[in-house]
Parts: sequence; C-alpha cells; structure tokens
Amino acid sequence: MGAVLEARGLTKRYGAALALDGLNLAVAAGETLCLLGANGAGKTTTLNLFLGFTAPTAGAALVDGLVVAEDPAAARARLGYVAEVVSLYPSLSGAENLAFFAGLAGVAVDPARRDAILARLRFPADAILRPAGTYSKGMRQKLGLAIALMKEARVILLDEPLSGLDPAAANDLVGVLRETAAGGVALLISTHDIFRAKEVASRIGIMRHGRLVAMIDPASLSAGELEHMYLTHMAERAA
Amino acid sequence: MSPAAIAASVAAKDWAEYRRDWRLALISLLVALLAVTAVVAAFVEVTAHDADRRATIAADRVTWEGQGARNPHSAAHFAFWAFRPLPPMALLDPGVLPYAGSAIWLEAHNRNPAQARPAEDLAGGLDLGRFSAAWVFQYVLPLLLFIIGAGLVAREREAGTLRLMLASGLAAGQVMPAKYLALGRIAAVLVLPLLAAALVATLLAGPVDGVALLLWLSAYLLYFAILAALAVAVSALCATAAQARLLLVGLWLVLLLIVPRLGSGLAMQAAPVPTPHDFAAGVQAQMKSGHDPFGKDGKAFEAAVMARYGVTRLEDLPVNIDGLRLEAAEQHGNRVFDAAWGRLAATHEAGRAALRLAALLSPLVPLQNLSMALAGSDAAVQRDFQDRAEAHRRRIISLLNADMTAHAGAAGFDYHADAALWRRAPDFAWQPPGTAAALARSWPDALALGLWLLAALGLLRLAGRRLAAGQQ
Repeated sequence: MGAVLEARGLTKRYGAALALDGLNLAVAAGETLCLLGANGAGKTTTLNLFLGFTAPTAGAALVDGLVVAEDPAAARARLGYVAEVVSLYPSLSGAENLAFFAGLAGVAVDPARRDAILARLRFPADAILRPAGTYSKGMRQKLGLAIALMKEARVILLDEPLSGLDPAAANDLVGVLRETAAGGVALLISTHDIFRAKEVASRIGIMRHGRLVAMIDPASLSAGELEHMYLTHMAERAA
Repeated sequence: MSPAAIAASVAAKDWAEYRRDWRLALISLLVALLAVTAVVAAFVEVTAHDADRRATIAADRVTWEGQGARNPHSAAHFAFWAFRPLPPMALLDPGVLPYAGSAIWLEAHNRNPAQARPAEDLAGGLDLGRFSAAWVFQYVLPLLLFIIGAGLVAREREAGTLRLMLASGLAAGQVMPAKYLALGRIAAVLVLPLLAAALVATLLAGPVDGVALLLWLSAYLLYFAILAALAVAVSALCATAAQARLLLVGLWLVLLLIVPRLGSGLAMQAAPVPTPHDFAAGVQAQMKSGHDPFGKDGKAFEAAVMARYGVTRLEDLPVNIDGLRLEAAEQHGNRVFDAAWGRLAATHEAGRAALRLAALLSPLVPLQNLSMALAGSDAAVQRDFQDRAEAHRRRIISLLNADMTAHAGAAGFDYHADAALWRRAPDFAWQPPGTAAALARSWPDALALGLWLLAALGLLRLAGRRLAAGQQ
C-alpha cells in the first residue's frame, strides 16, 4: 500500500539550532507510527512540518502525495490534527465546536453521521450538547478525533494524545485509535509513553536530536525489551 | 467552502462566544444605556431649546413693538436679540455649541459676543456638555471595540484553537479577513441599534437634511472600520490577549485622548486667541481712535454734509444731521468690527489648520471635525450665526438711523417714532449653512479618514502576512 504520509530528507533549522535533521519516513493507510523521544527530539517539529505550520529548511513533507510547503491548505484538507490538549471553545457546546471545525474543512455536519462517529469513539451521547468547557481531557481528545473523522481525514496527526489521561481513559483512547487505524486511516502519533506506544503502534520510531535513530516493529519486542532499547538510546544521548 | 462562507462561519462562531460571555454582554448593555441616556437627554435639550427660543422670540417681538413712542436711536439702544436655533443633528453631536453663546444682543454701536452658553448652566461645572451620542460613539464604543477585538486572534493563538482552525482547513490568509468580519459583526450589533435610536430621535427633533445624516453615519462607520482593523491587527501581532488588550488600551489613550488634546494645545499655542477682555479693549481703542462725527471730526462732517446738499447752514439741511452722524459713526464702527472679528476668525482658522495636522496622528480629529460640520454644530456654523446676526443688527440700526435722518428734522433726539417703525424691523431669520458648505470645509477631514482606513487595512494585511508566514 502506498504511503499517505511521507518525509523525504525533511530538515528544519531554527537559526543555529537543528530541530530536524534529514528525516525520512513513510506511513501507509491503516498504519500507526508512533514517534518516541525526549523533549526537543524533533517530534513536534515533524508534526508542524506535516501541518504546514512551519516551512522546511530542506527536504519535503508529503501528505497523500502533495508537498505540504507548496500547498498547505490542500494538504491540511486531507489531515486531521489532535493536539496534546484539544483546544475547544469552552462556551460552545461539543456539537457547535464540531460543526465549526468541520465547517472550516468544508464539511456540513449531518447529525446522524456525527452521532455514529461519536458512538464509535465512545463519546457520551448526552454530553455533545453541553458546553465544551465542562469536558474532561479524554472527552476533548475524542472530540478532536471526531473532528478529524468528520472531515474524512486520510491521515491524523496526534501530539501526545495520551498524556495526562487516567489509565481507564487512556485504555479507552488506545482502543479508539486502534479502531480508527483499522478503518484505513494513517496515524502519526508523537508520544513519550513507551508502553502505550507498543499497544497502539504498527511501528515505533525513536527520535533523538532531530534524527530518527531507530525504527522498531513493536510486535517483535516485549515491553521490557522496548523500554531497554529506548533507554539505551536516551543514555547514548546523555553520554 | 468559499472564503466568504469561511469568514461568515468564523464571524458566527465569534458572535456566539461573545453573546455567551456575560461580562461583555454587561459592558455592552451599560454602553447602550449610556448612549440611550445621552440621546434622550439631548432630545429633551434640543426640543426644549427650540420651544424656549420660539417663546422668547415671540416675547421679544411683543416687547419691541410695545415699547411705545421713542426716539429711534433710543430704540436702537433698547435693542433686541438674535437667537440661534439648535440644529436637530446637534442631538447627535452638539459640537462646540454647548460652549458657544446661543443669543446675541443686537444694539447700536456694538457688536456683542454671543452669550447664554449651555455649558455655563452645568451643575458644579461638570462637563456634561460632552455627554452626547457622539461622545459615546467617539470614545466609549471604540474602547469597547478594542477590548473585544484584543482577544479575537491572540486568544485563539493562546488557547490553541488557531492551530486547530488552521489544521481544519482555514487558510492562514483567511484568518484576518474572517476576524475583521467577526469584529465587524459584533460592532454592527452593538452600534447599529444605538445609531438607529439616535437617528430616530434626531428625525423626531426636527427637519433634517437626509444627505447630511447619511454622510454623518458613513463617517462613523468609517471610523469604526478603522478602529476594528487596528484592533484585529494588534490582536494578531501580539503574543497574548492580555498583551493585545494592554496595547490597545494604550492606543486608545494615545489616539483618542492624548493626541487630540495635545494637538488642541499646540494649535492654541500656534494661533493664540485673545481673551474676551483683551479683544473688547482692542475694539474699543480702535473705535475711539477712528472717525468721530460727534466729536473731533464733527465740523468736517457737517461741512461735507452741507456741501453734499448744497446748503451753507445746518438749519437748511432737508435731513436731520444727527441721523447722518449716527449712521457715519455706525459705518466706522462696522469697519472696526469687520477688521477685529476678521482677525479673530483668521486666528481661529489658523488654529484649525494647525489642529488638522493632528489628524495624521489620530483618526478622532478628522472624525470630530466631520461630525460637527455635518451636524451643524462646529465653529464655522457658530461664526456664520454671529456674522448673520451682525448683518441683521446693521440692517436694523440703518433702518432706525434712516428714519431719524428723514423724519427727526429740527427735533433731533427729541423726535419720537412709533410702533409703525418698530414693526418694519424684521425678525432675525437664519438658516445654517447647508451640507455642501460643510463638505467644502471638511473634505480634508474625509480624506484623512480615508487615509487612516487605508493605513489600518495595511496594518491588518501586514499582520495577516506575519500570521501566514508561520508566526502563529
């Protein structure tokens, strides 16, 4: 299956600092790639480059074959984005938030389809008409995913989606992410959480100093082995 | 989704947020209350002034015609009043009128300044003369617009919703037009009902030139368009909503309070206006030093008159020489008045020209000029009233002098005219200069507002470019 998300020698430099150094990766439809790494490893920069929020110094980020820097709006039309904390308008209801963000993508919300997506995401049905200011973090993450699914995004980028969630909510969200990927959506997830990454990812990339230093098949390693490998990479960094 | 539909969607979302923020709703309600109070108070004042003026003119006419038999020159000192009407649009913007006299005592030998200034009647010197619809529109609504506008982009950036908006499909170049439209929509909901209420009250207060009203409205819409563009641009350029709010409140202080006050102060320095006492003393000195047909120039005057009528003795004159003397003294006085008041008008004009430079630093300066001119409440209108009242005074005094000259004969100052003469003196009728005249003197202000709009939109565009270049 062809890659819907691709980085070709993707490089980003902020002044003297090299935030991303020649990243090459590809994510196919239905695949989940988790990027693991410490703060400053280049995970968020990678997401920003795919979102077209910043321009690459060299190389290219491609979404569904489109070079993001050449037409960020067209690339974003194919992308969904779930931030670490999904930012919603607190005085608007979940339904209004969903309708607004989907509307920006040119999607008119059909309530039946919306309710089906929300049910798939196990979002409490009665909460959608409540102000978003009353939502828990897990609910916000799910609504963020719902926005991406409403626009039928082929790729969803998630920035630390599991951080700060209680174990039950994190389990719940992992299940939802698996089902989303199973539906043919490519997921690129930036995370610190090795164990959750192993649960959800098809592949795990370890990033350090803006470089992809390892690409791992999580099924081939136990959780302990994965942790050991990750810590080894981090220790090399410290050294 | 078309750019217009996206902008409308963002505007609708911002409006929904605004409506649900009780603090903003409360402030808006208070501003509306303030504006309505100002309009109602002005309506009462304009209509009461008009009723008072009509009643006083009628009473003055009765007194004038009922003064009985007396010498025409004595009647010229008995005198009468010219009253300035309050134009209905003064309800919107009273301009300089609260500080300018609305009545002039018209008498022989003197060009009196206008008196009966409404500002003098204010309790405790409280400056309620500025509490008007224009004051709310010029100062209060802009502050509200700035407070609301400060968060429009900056708050979205802080909260992370801007990233989600962009990720959802909003092009970076669409953010600024969408936010400008959003603030425009909120401003329209705030401003239009208040403007409508003010316009209805104005139309009820008396006949109004529709063109002037439309232009007045357009000038304010232009002003709000400038301020809204500034607010959105600053909001986009600042990192946080608090920073944007602080900067916009500072801008409000500088643009709407400090620069106009400073400009006014500098204009007064550049073209100092004499105090009323100094002005009156200067006029009196000129009067005394000039032609005096009753004193030092009396003999020469008599000789000239006798030569004109071909007689050698005053007793043979077919007219009363004192009437001629009075008219000659009056003509001399008129020349002195014309010169002195002309210099005063030139000084005012020089000050106005100096103040106009401040229009480049504050959109309030040209707006105020335009607003007052279109409302018929600026200094030019007051000057026109004073000039027309003076022309009327001269007409009446000449009428009385002519009657004395023709009919007094040897009786001189013992001659008495009667009500037939008093009735020949017309009432003072004055129509303020119209909209064309207002535009003729205010087109530089309209131009300055246009330039301000271009500059504000330029800043908006610049802020949009920074946003699009990844400054989000």
